[in-house]
Amino acid sequence: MKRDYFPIIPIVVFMALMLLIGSSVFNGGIVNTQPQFAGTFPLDSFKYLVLNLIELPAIIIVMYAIYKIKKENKNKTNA
Amino acid sequence: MIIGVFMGYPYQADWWYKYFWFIKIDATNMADPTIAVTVPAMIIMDIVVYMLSILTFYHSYKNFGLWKSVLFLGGSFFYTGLEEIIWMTFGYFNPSFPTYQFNYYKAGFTWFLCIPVATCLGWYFLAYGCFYIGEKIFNSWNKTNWGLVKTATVAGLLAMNIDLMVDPFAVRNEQWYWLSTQSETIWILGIPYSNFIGWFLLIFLFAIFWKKVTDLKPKYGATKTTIIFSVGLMGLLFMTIGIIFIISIIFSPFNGTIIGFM
Repeated sequence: MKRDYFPIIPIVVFMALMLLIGSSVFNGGIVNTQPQFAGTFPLDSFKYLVLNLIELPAIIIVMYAIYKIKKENKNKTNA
Repeated sequence: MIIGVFMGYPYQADWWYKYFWFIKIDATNMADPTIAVTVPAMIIMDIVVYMLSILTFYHSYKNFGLWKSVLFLGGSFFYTGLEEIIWMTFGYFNPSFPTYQFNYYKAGFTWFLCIPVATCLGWYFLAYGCFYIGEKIFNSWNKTNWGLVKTATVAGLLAMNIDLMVDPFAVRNEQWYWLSTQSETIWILGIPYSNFIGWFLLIFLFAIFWKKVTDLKPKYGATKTTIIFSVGLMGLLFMTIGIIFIISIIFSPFNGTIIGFM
């Protein structure tokens, strides 16, 4: 059923929105004024890439869950 | 207004003044072009989060019925919301407490005291979604205690992993501020490590708590179980804050500033 995917949609949308916010920050659209970041975490594309790669385990888990739901639904249809 | 000697960034000047306001933006803010420009984005973000929460609630209602769904929504909303509110408010009145604050003019349009409603709802759909994904992977949360622990662990780790990206982005977008200096804590990607422990614990503990307490319904009935759930949730809330605080103290020697946490 389509409804089985509903709880996954917010997670995917949320992650996509944050990537969008992240890209605007790292492209220099927003100047961060917090003093604790001065010189510690430059807003460059390499760091942006690293933060994206950190999400890989989450993306794999979400995709695996989608695969399991698909498989369950297929089994239900066959039964 | 700068409170505390250990903070790297002050609380907003009107932080306490607007503490009880449901909408923090007023005519004065709208006159400020730098703030006014963020208002449409905040409203859109709020609407998106409200809609995602409705979608999640619909799924929950169809799968678990109204009573369990309301307990999950209300429980996760107040458990995570109050945890953050207590942390921030305590930090405001206790200068050396490790804390943070949400930006009233960028983090959200509608507010539950000092936390955006969207953040509480975000906790709700993340907790539900992560728990659901954990259940799909192991398919054993309803069978054994170990199955439930495995499911809750995956849910907690998944949420924590998502926050490894969310927090660095949001902080650099100035949606919230960590009020610690570099020497006070261990920073992971520019975020205090205790934040990630908090993310894991909140999702992990709430998932187990919700499952275990709602299972008591056949024994005690809906009313009594709801009371047990509400009272137990408050206990869980203070226990979680305590655990995070103790972990912060235990690890504080690694940055050599244990006094910064006390």
